[in-house]
Amino acid sequence: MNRRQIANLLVLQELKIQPRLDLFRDRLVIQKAIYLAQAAGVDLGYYYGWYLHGPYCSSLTKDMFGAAMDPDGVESVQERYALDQLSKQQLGRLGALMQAEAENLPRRLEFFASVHYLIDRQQVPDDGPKTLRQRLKAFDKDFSEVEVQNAIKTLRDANLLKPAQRGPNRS
Amino acid sequence: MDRIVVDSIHGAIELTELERRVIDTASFQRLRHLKQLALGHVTYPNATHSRFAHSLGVLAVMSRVLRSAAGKLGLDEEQQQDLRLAALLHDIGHYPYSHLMERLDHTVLTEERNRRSDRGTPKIDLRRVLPYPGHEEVGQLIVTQQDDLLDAIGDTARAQRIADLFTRGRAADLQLSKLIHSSLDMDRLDYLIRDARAAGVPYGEIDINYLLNHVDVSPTRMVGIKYKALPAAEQFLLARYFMHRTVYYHKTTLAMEEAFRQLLRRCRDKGAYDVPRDGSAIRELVADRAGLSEFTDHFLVSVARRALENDNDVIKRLAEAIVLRKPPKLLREAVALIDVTNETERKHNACTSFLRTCEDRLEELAQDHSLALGLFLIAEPPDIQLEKRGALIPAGEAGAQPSDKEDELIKVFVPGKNEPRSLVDIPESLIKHCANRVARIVRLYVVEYDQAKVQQLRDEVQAW
Repeated sequence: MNRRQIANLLVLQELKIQPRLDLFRDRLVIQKAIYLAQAAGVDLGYYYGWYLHGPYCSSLTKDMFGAAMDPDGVESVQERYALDQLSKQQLGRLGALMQAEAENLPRRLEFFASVHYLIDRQQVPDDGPKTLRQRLKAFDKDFSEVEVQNAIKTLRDANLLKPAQRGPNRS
Repeated sequence: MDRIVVDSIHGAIELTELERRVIDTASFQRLRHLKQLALGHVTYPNATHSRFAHSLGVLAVMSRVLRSAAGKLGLDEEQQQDLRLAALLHDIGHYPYSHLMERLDHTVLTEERNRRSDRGTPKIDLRRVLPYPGHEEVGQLIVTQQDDLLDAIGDTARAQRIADLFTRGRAADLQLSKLIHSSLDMDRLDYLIRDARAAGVPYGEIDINYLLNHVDVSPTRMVGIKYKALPAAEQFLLARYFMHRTVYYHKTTLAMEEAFRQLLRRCRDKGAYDVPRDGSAIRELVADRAGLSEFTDHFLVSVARRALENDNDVIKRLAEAIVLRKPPKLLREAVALIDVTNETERKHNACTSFLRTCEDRLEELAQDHSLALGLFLIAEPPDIQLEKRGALIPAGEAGAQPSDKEDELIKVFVPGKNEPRSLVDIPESLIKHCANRVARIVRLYVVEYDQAKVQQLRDEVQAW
């Protein structure tokens, strides 16, 4: 297993996410969790594009499948290596985003990651949550304006969005 | 059309004035100095074709797809031009020797694999080495930051739009982005034929004309292949598999590439010969006009040449292997065709057990033969799969849940259906029955040229 694969597993462990790949929802959670980890400042080197379910990175999928083929298994890596303190602190900022029942986590992370992506990549005009909501709806993510507004606030409170950048919530 | 370029694969490729301007930039001309097959020419002497020629080839394929599909997709002229430019520029961010350098962060030094060393709990400091960005991100940076390309394209917003097409960055243009990345995979349609012809092997030949003449578009704007071209689509996927087995993963090429990768990792760790220290150094380099124009295969060759004088014996011998074309010798190879849906097979197969043995026994072998551990190279190329996999469950059951990249699977219009189906879901397709399997290869080499010593090592390793 290479350094990036090890780092992925440690980040997921820190976020209390199982590195399972069997189900689509498992893979979705991993994709969005790593996306948000990078937004929190833990640079794992993954570049995300936009797919039907929001931010997605092919290289991450390849690395995760590679790790799944490793006979040492996840447990061994998680026993042998540990994250540094600063990375742990940065991941700690994701606490509020991760608070959900297991069955709701995929939708929640997809929502936060998608909102972050659209604002961070400046793909929505600076006119409040309305356009952002419409853009999400075009990809079957039906959230109310209040939910979108709250998501932006949560992302800002976690310091995942720079205060000065363009975005629908800029005052 | 303003200009014609004659290509050995596609014949006459017509260029618009805008495309001509883009091609004439220094940023695009850099692609002439990146070999498509990295070190493939050490095995196949004629495989020296460039990413420049390949990029023109992908433009030619896009041009033909648009001829068949633009009307049904309702694309206006500007959208078509943007797609053509995205095809032309899709590889603009490639590193010298392509994936060899790009994947440097994936390179594990042989000493680091040693399982017998202290197995305490090392801290992973994620900020110590910011990973190199992938070529898609580098491409996006080049297209949106290099003045020559911005001048040629005309405005920053359009440059960003084009970059977003080939990186799939823009949510609003998902439908257009799909065309670049869609199941037709124009990138692959060009490179398989180009690489096969340059190498002189028959395995990559595909019926590209038949495939492109049978492109169709569904009422929901899904692009696919008509059913009568099903065998051509299957052969297209099989061709990629055979090209990996024969050309891309040739034992000599892989040996040289692994030696080069290990050399670069060691030089980078030592801060030697201007090898970019991390991802931020790469981003600075590609933002600079002069830096970018020198970021070619020649840059890496010069690293290897300078490393010939290094006082570290492992670095020096790796450099000699590359500069003097003295390929490391193969000691043993493990190959497995793995059913990825079977967890036991996935984790316990010929490759994984050989890797574990190497990790357990290489240090002792090196000591016994008075060789530095770093002179043993383990090459572990990415698995070869027939079709983009989305799960560790059987392909037939995969249809019951959404696929991560459904829009990138090959689609076929089955008779009687308006919307195309993924090839992996068509029962009579050979691909459906092979889609769960990946081919994995692991090879152990040594940088040593004394025949008797190599044979002795080979005998010992074979007996493990």
